[in-house]
Amino acid sequence: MIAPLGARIRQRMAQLHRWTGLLLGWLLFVIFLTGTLSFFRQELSLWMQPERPFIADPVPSKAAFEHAYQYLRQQAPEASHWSVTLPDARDPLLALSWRGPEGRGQVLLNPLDGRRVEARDTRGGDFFYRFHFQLHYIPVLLARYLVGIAAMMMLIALITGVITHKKILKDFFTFRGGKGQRSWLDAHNGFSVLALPFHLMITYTGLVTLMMLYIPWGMEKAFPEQEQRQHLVTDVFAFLPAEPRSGEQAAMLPWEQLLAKSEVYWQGAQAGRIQVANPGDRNAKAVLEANSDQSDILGISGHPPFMVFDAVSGELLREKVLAPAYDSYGILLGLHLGRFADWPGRWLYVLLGTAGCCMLATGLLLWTSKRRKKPGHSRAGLWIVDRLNLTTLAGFPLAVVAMFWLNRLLPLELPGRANWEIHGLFLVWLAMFLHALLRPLKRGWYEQWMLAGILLLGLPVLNLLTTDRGFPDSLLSGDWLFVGFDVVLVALAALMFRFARQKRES
Amino acid sequence: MAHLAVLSLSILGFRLLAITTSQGAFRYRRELFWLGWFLLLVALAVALGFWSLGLGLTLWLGYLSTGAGVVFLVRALGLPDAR
Repeated sequence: MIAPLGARIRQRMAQLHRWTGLLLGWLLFVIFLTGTLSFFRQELSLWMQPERPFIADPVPSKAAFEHAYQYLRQQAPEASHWSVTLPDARDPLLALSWRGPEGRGQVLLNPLDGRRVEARDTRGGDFFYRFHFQLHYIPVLLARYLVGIAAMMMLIALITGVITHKKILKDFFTFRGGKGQRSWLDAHNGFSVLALPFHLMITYTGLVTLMMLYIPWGMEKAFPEQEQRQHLVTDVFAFLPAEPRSGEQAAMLPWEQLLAKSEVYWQGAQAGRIQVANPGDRNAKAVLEANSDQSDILGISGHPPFMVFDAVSGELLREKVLAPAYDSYGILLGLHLGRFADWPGRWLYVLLGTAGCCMLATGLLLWTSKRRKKPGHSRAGLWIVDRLNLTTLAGFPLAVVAMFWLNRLLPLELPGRANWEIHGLFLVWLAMFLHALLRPLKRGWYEQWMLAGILLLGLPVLNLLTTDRGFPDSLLSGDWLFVGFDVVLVALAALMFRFARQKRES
Repeated sequence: MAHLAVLSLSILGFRLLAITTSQGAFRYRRELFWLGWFLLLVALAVALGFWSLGLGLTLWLGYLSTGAGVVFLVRALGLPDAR
């Protein structure tokens, strides 16, 4: 039975903190790590498709639109739906997709000349983004519930951690190195307290992004009919409901005109995407959505404004409605996604996300460090937690690096190549689990950190050997993404070697 | 530039707070302690001045954490017993 709260509230909260943290700590670490990588989703995709040409300056929207329109008109004239994502500062290529009675298609175009870019089959950074909220190999809905439960546990662990920490301000900068359990505690407190606003924000907003799934009853009560919900979706999202073609051909207005209208309306903010339903038909509709990467004009909302036009007459049919609750949701979503952030802001997100990973890792290690000295503690429980810690904290990052190796090594014509990169990640992770079971603990940590370091250090070399985007070429052409990637890999390798050395000497 | 200014002010502010809340006696402890807090407020003013309210607050909070983290790591790496 749970004792009443009172003088021992701190002990109760500490217990809750320990167990909520431990039971889902491994899953949370994996979610936090992949979520942190997702802040560089586009950049990871660019690195994982080295065939994409390097374009230093983004091409103006109007020129890019013209190439997109010409391509779609020639290649998918019968499609019922076109979608064009324009180049921006993070992704310099045009991304086109279409669907219709003849099937679906997607392609990347060089916006400079409108030519098709053949890039290797990979999920790129999208894999990490999807994985951090719907995992892999398990049904999406179940995975999202699991992630939601983990996030809720994280929120509880954060709040109980604050209550437990008696001298939260006094101990703000305390670190007692080389003292075993005490050092792990100080490191855990450091990573937790210093980035506490971020941890609370990212966990809470993470839950909010999927709130309709976790607590659907409000929505069901307010909009009981399917039709009402459909109406809501079209009001608040840049979404074109399926409408039949009239069968009568009609010339669409040049997209530049719609673009110019929207940019005036959005006070200069640029469009990021255009979708067209029933192109070339009298019933053609176009929805233009602003690029969310313009915080100086649009703020930090994750729901950028959009406008729906009659694509033939140019008449404005509807636009994003202003609703306080929905806008608040958009801001929380925007805070979680961080798409508003420029590159220093994105690095800030990554640094704080890394602090979150470190908080979880030090918490898990603290749990075992504390119990190792307790004479009566279950040896089997400790053995399992130790192995899971090793597999997750060292094995999973290693498996992620292995995925980058596979991205460069797998044959380009391999069927299902993108999936094999992902299978590879999980196979390596499984191998690390087996390694953790079979090797003595200290040796296991040393070997996995060493291997991670070697793989990280080898990746720039592999990139140099297998692509024409190696460090010297990238440096000379001013391709800072590839240069930065190599620099970060070497720095991370040095960190892994340091961890390995510390394990060997401990 | 604004990013660098806000980060620098945060690091400096937290550095002063860390020094003035450490053990040991030295002159102007009280003044430096309040100067530390003042610098964090200046960082907020700079953030709000350069960016809008929402973006400024968001980035200021982020840089506060980063500034405190830098001070913590420097002390942790440089001093075996930082207290």
